[in-house]
Amino acid sequence: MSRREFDDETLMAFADGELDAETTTAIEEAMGSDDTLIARVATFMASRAQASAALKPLIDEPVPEALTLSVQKMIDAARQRDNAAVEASEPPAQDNVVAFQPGAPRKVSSSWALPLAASLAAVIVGAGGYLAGKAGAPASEGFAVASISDPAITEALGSTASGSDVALGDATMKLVSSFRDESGALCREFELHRASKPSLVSVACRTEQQWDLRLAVAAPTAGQDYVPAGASETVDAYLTTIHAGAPLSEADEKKALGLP
Amino acid sequence: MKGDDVPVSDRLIAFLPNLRRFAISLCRSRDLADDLVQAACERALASQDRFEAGTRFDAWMFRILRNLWIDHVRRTKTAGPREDIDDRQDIVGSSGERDVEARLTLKSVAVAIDELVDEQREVLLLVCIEDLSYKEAAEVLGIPIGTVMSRLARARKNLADAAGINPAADRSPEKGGKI
Repeated sequence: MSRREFDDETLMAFADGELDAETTTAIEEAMGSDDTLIARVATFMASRAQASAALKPLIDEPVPEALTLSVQKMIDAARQRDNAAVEASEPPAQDNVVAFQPGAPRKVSSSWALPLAASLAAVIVGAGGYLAGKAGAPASEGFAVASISDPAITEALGSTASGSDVALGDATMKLVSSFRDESGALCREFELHRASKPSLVSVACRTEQQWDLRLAVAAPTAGQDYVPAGASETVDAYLTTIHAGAPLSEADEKKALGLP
Repeated sequence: MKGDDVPVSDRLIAFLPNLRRFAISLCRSRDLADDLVQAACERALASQDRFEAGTRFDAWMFRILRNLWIDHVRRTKTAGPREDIDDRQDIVGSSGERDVEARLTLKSVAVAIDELVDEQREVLLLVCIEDLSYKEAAEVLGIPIGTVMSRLARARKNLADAAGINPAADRSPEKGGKI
């Protein structure tokens, strides 16, 4: 009988107990007459055990008190908010967050939008506003997001790698990341820094070759060069609610955008 | 309306040491790690409705934290490599001799882990340190299981080579790629 070859992944899965029963049996049999195979499996077992042992001290290290306190504070605040939300049953109408899309999943948006409203004038754009191609963007009319329909922005979304800046007249567009949403649509997070206007942090997703603005958060009067933490946290929270996948690697992003 | 078993807010404090270890190993800086842990907790609390009862809480938290980290990297990636030598020494807690020594002898496992490329290190952390299954790690990282396996196998070969993890002394001297 000829000796069956096993690749590293298979032997590693065997060492980790992640292999199907059939292959496990095959490897066990083969190990009976193959010392090299035993050594390869043993190396995978040892690397796991030693890696685990090497980082064990980190978990015994006391968590800095400031961190624990700060997290505890957040937990307490979250509980208070929950209680308040239950009492109020409906979110207060006078906050600064404007939900444009009645179809948007309300219960997820309210849980994070409420606490942010106090510190940040946020403009949430639902799935209604197209960036280009459609006549006008009714959802954004009258709001600071209007200029986001600039075709140059759409072009940059489709052609510029994350981590780079694009100059658009007196504004600078900063491409932050690409990822897939729940439905697999390609989405991009970007920032728009504009002279004498609020900066915007936005998420746009591509459906049928069209870039569709999902979220724009304005960060008013905060200077042109940076977006205050509150705005990016809003975006982060939003990304969590749409089950955004992990940011694409540079290679995957290129592929997704169809770049050389 | 919240999950009827243990709510996210009740688990966070107990989970801080794990989350922090993952963060430290991921970003190789204690200061950054603590900020990251804090941000991840904040985000977890803000979206605790999204946590599905019956799924692994640790995997969910790791995913949140890792996404925040990637986002941070992207946001701060203005020019050049971001690795900071001081930060990295902070992790292994060793002195400048380390580099010299490393060239002469085998590295400690902690140093070797620290020196893995990011994509190999993170998968190693999740599976070998935090005991996630391949499938769970795949979900945290947003990549297919096959990719988890190939990265993990490479990570462990590199680790074994760098730190001299080699139970069978007569193993053929082929290298799994130098770090």
